[in-house]
Amino acid sequence: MKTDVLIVGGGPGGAAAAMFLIREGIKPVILEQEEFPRFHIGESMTGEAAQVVRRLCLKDEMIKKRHPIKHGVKVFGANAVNSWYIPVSSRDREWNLSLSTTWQVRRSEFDSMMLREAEARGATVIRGTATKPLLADDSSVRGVTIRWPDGGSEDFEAEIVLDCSGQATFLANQRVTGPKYVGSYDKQVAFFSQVKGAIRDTGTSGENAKDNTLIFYEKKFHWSWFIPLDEEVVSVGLVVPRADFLEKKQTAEEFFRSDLDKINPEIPRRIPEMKLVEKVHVIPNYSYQVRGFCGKGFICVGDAHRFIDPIFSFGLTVTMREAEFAAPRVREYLEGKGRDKANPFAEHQIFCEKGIDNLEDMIDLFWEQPFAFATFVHHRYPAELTDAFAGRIYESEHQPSAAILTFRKLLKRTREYDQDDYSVPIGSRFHPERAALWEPNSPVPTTEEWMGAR
Amino acid sequence: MEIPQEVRDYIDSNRSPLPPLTDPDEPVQLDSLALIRLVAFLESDFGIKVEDEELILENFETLRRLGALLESKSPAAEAPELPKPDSSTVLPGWGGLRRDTR
Repeated sequence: MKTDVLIVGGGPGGAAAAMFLIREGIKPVILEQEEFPRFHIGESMTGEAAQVVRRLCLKDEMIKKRHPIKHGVKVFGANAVNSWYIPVSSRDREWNLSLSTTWQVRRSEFDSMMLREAEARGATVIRGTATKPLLADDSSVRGVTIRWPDGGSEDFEAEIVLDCSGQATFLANQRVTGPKYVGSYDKQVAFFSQVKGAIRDTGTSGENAKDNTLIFYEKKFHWSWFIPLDEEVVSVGLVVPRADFLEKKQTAEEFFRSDLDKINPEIPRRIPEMKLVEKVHVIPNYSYQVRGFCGKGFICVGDAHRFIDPIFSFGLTVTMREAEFAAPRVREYLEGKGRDKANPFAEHQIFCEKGIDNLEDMIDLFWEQPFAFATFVHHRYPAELTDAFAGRIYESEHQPSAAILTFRKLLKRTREYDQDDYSVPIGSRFHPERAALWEPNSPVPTTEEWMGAR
Repeated sequence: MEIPQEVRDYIDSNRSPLPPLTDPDEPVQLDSLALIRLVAFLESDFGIKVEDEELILENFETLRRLGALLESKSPAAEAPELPKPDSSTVLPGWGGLRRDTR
């Protein structure tokens, strides 16, 4: 079998990439191994993620599905004495800042809608698993081997493969990319489920809107999220250093039930009774960065090359925005542009990398110096930081802003870029000694094995 | 630099219901948002620029520490103009600083 563009993974990155490619006149094939709908985490959108959805002309669909409307993020400080609020914002063509809204999405529904829509617009969706890449003599990617659900295998050739496999990091694990490094937040573990009967604010807009994201902060690396998914159900997460969990020798659900309330006094007030309507999921060691994530015949999108920390809900934003950025580059490649170059997508790669570097500076400063961070949000750089919180993190959006440059100064960090490639040093910059290689087969290959082995 | 009376008053009123500070080494015990307002107050009303590197809680822990921080500052009259952030700083509906009154 053969096609121009093969997209590995039918999540929002893959589906968005397909829809933007169709606009470029290219009808891709999407390979997805799971039956949709399926559970997935990452339920909150930023302002710019909503803009992508609107550019895909899916606004009416979102309204029809009654996804909760998010006006902003409220962060509760330790002991729930303070809270601070960041409104969702947008910029017009003249770069005027205004308030905006975005959506919270139950991912099983949103992801299904996106994939269905991509298919309706002309993408071919096939069910199967990419097991290994097909490589040409010059080591460019020219397709993948697919394992079909019936167990059979087949080579599927493509001019270019978009790796939208998420945290499975298909091409990185297959060593097609550069090395995968352990990121700054690899010592943590996230537990999450969905609850009924949680108490929300009652407002219709702004800070007290009922469907805003709430973040409860306890201390460094201990926090929790509260993200409404519909009128009844709220997604609730708990993130702690994994050592805290290991020493308790509890199951994930026992730990979630016993330790969630300890994060912040606001939590038992908001969730007086823990009525779980979803199993307790666990993701340990989620932080990584892949070097060389674009090359001849491939582009990795979103989580397929980098994930930092879930704290400010950037997963959907980064993957859908990178999918949009990639589409015209893919068309140019199919037209023959840059075929003679070692990396035809070098510019796209560095553009995406710099964007996430800005995000990483923001997240690192939040954890390392929360008081300075809060002062910047509320006193020094409110406009610059509403931009960053809304997902405007790229060079084309006036980044790095004065705020991000200040973060770098306080983090004693400079960002140098190795020609067209990656920022140095890589991995955990605040703790360079932890910038270790992530080994695909050790020490924690899957959540299940990690849970079983402890 | 002596801590101006207005600053002491600000701290005492934000410490309420704790009694006014008398011991320079007693913990100030302001919550972080009150501290952010204190920074804003020092900058706007006294022309004192608190440097980014000085935005650590330790500098505001006690009156003695705060006095030492202010000591290192040039007099208000010579204070340099603060760099201006993005002009569209204030958003309509911006929640801003919030002290939970519950």
